[in-house]
Amino acid sequence: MPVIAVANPKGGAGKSTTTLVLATTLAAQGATVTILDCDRNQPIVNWRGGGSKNPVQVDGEVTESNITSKLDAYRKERQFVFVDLEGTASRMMSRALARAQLVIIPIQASPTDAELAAKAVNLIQEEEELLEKKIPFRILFTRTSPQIPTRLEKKILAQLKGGDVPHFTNHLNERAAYKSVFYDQLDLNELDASEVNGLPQARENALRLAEELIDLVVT
Amino acid sequence: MSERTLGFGSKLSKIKPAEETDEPVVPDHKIDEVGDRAGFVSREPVQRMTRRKPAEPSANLNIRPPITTFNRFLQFCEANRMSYPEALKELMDRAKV
Repeated sequence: MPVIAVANPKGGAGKSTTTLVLATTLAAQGATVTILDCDRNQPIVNWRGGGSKNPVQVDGEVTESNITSKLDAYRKERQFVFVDLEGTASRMMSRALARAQLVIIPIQASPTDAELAAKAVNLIQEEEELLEKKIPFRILFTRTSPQIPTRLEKKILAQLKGGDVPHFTNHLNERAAYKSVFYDQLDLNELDASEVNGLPQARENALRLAEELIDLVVT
Repeated sequence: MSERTLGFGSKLSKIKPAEETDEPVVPDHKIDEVGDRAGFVSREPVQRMTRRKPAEPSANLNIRPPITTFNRFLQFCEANRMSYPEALKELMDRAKV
């Protein structure tokens, strides 16, 4: 069950951060992981250009016409294939979702993020009808405070629960470390705890989320 | 953390790369129809092709040869269906200049 698409048509929802944190955490635990970086800004390709020894493999040469064949090839070689999609409603996204065994939809606790996430969910449901199979998806809250949930967060969460929209129980909290991985071009293990605030908590958060993901994939 | 494995190992090993499946493959254009309906359209511009090959920068060469030389050069170009720059290059190649 290896293709995991990370999608939200809204930009800045935390797609690349989620992808990189989960993929490097799984790779550090010994899994074979490939990331297809479909974002034109190529944030993960740029990250790979740094000095990290994390074994995750990154492919940034993805177009609408080759994404299907690339996914079909990688999924036979690797335990996990992450697809980091661009923050627009694109044909690339609809093609990737059709090949995905799990779709992670990151959202910040904001109405615009949630509305555009609903657009992705709508596409998933239409594709399910066409493909006559389930495409499991999960909403993931990103950049949340680790201590106190905001009122808006609670309201959005209540709406998700009311609409039976599945979501991760773990959030990807707001942590300086998740920005530092991009700045220093390292993974969470390689960052220096004396330079980055809250690094142990960030590592713990990443592990918990990865664990939840593995449980989802195994079952 | 690099030493902590949290028992992922056994669970991770259960996750295997996909095997060849015989599940029906839905062609991309079918998926695109659904995508288009939901507002997920192509974002890649259609590129206009050009037949002109990328070339190195060029410079002007303005010459006034005697008319007999000019005619011979033109005949050579016509016979070989070459532009003046191509013919000049060809002649210099032959002369090993």
